[in-house]
Amino acid sequence: MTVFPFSAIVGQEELKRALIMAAVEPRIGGVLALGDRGTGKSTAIRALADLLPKLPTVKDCAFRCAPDKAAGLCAVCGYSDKTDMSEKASLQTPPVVDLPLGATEDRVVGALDLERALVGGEKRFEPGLLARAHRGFLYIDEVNLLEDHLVDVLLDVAASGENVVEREGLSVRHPARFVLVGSGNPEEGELRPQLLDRFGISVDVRTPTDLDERMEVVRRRDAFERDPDAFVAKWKRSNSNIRRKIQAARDRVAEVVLPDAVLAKAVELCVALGADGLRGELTLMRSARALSAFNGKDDVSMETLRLIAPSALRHRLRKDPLDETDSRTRVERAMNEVFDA
Amino acid sequence: MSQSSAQSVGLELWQAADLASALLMIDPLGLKGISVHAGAGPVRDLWLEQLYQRIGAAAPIIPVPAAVPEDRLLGGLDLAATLATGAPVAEQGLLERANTGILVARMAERLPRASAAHIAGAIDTGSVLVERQGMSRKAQTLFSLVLLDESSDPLMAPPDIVMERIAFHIELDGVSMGAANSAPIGIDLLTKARASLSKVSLADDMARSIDVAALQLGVGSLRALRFTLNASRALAALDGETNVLERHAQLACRLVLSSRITLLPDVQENVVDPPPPPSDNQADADETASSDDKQNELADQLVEAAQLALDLRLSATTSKRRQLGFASGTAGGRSGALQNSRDRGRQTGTRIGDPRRDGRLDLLATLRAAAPWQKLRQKAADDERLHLRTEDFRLRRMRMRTPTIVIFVVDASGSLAMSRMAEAKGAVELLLNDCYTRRDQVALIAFRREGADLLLPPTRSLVRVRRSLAHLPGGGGTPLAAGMAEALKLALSEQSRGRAPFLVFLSDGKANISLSGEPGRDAADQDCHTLARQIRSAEFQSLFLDTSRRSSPKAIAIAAEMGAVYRLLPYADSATVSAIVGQLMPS
Repeated sequence: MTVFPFSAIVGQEELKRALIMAAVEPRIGGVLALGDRGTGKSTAIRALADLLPKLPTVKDCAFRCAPDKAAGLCAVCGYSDKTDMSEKASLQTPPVVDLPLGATEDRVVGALDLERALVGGEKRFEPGLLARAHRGFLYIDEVNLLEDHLVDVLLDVAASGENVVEREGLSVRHPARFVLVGSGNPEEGELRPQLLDRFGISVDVRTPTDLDERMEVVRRRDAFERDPDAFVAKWKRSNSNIRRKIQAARDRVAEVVLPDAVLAKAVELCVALGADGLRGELTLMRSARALSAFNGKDDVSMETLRLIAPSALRHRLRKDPLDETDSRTRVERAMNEVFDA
Repeated sequence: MSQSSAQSVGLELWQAADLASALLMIDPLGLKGISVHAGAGPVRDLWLEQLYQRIGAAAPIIPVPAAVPEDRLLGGLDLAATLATGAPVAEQGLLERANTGILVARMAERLPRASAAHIAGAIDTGSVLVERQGMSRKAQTLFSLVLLDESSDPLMAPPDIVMERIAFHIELDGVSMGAANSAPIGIDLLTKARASLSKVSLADDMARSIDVAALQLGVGSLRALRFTLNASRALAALDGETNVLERHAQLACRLVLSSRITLLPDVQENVVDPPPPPSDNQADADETASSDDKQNELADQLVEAAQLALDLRLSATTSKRRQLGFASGTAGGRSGALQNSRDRGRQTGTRIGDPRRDGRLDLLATLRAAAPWQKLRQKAADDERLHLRTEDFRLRRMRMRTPTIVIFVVDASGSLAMSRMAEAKGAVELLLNDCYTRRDQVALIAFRREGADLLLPPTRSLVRVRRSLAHLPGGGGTPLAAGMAEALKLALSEQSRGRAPFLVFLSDGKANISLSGEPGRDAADQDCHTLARQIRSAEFQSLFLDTSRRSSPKAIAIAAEMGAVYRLLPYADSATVSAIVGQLMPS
């Protein structure tokens, strides 16, 4: 499968920035992209796969175990706990797994491997999408239309970092830590508040109205579809540049300094907006650090905070069904008050 | 509509359909597919036949049934063969088999979202990914998608996720065989056009005009823009031209944009960015200005072309759809079938079936079914292992909670119209806010002057509620009967889609306009009672909120006839309304 190169995406700066921040710092807690159809949401998210630095992984392990922390759940990792599998380690690109709407629970959490059970009489667990997304990204298009029972599963796994399966005589628990990426059109349905809260960053994707930009998008997309390989080759170098920058940012994100003055403003902003819980502040800090690291800075500047605040807070405002002001305006108003005071 | 004009509309629609099919064959990579809205019949068959002839005998034509299971689409394991041979036997999925050919989805309006998502993914990435333990492969697949849309109700079109990804949405509903017998575009022409397509160039100005037109029509999607540009190139190639001319751009806009229009330009504001400020060089500025003028002029023409095509589509179908919409409602008894889900909800029993395809295996029941045969089978196979055959499989039968649709029917007549509507709107929003966790929907019908309107089609989206109900109409007489008729129609159609309707009336019951739109209290009352009986016999739950100051005998009578719960609510504020509805809503 050839995916459209990330570096060739025209515009959509906020979405690209959000995805890069999530790639640098997975603890941000996922990216939600809301907007109209045909604006390139899925293109950008699928393109992410090519930017992720490789991770040491046990070769052929069905659960993508890290070599120093093998869960010992499959034949490769030896069915025993906490084995060091360094000799079987290889560098692998983290997966970007699609969770299609209407997927059955079996496919998502995993189930009894029917073929093995029926043909060989063997009781084996067939890992689901959650296992495949471990240490990578789980992408749900039209996340606002996801069935409730799957939302429950996701919330549970996202909170605990592991998937517990008790069904068909199987009793399995395996690690499932992934970055959730969702996209959808808000006109087609609301997102459950608990799930909304799980997403660290939310991005408002708008249809571009600038003619030159639109023309360039269409031109590149056409070139890609008519000769994908040549197109990807052309953008290969700029894609690897971003990948290298992400890798470098990952290595030093912990050392980025967050000055007290910036932190104070972040807290003040959350209070002004009534953004519930501590999650707002945490996301603000983590994403500000990630972006500063990506840009090669040693500390977080006020401008960086200001740049990322809308994405980190927009979806956390307390909902009042009778207030019609859109959240973008509310965040902007609060930012002006806090920053210009 | 007179017969001859119906004929000429039919002819135009048919020619557009023929042209769309030809263009798809010229540039399948750039145009992706076609949806055809028409009932099953000779006209559609003829159109399909011509498409098949154009693609040639070598290319695969793969039909996809609406109820296609995921594994059939993506490929996986052939279970029957696997069991028979005792070793895994792989099976190619439909998406992969359609490579270089066409994927034809019949009854595309019933295509489940999961299948639609897989098809959309295959179109986007040009490949299918099959990943199961012990087997993981990616297969390339490039196909054109044909959606046969047989829906009778515009609310039931095929899933957006696939519609968005194909260039043409063609209307053949209401086209007669007589209109369809014009000569199709010849195959040799298509072959020539395909060969010369790469040489066709599209001037930048022309492309920008097309984009301006698309934006003015409220079509922001960049996919739609790409389809329009590619269609205009294919049209030029078909014409034997090496440049895209105005007429090609016009035709492309008609074919691609007309079905996607969301704004009519005379009511919208300038969505396009203003031109850059004039530069110092006067001559240069003049030049830009004149080229901008030309660009806008062409854009205006393109907008007009697309609008004309929209009018054409509407004139061919509205009358018929309206009849069909009502008739389909009488078949409301099907909802039971839809509530039985294969793999969601609570188990209510077992059934025979294929566990790979459509559900979850009930292992115990399967073994029980296989047990009596073991002696015989072991003897035949001359071994002692457990013999399972496909016919032994028992699957769990699941039942889902039926989602509810709350249909508000609001009296927007007279002096209190505005406040009543505002409170109803508030109630809708509060209710939606409360039912996040349920799959429930809300719709709103308002009646005033001579008739009733569906102001808010069924939705779960607060954004949409705000947008549709931003401007509330009101005033005039009280056509309660029309409101009830509209509600009944919507309820029946929603029931056939597997939802349980719950009707909520906000009115004082003092009807004074009859169903036919004539003033007169007696006829109006009579119509109301007739409809009330119909609502009752359809067994719809209902609630009548009487907004008069004192309880009105008329309202009580109608509510009783309907079997509705009656409440007097002189100050129908949104919080109370939503609380009552929430309480009474079937769970």
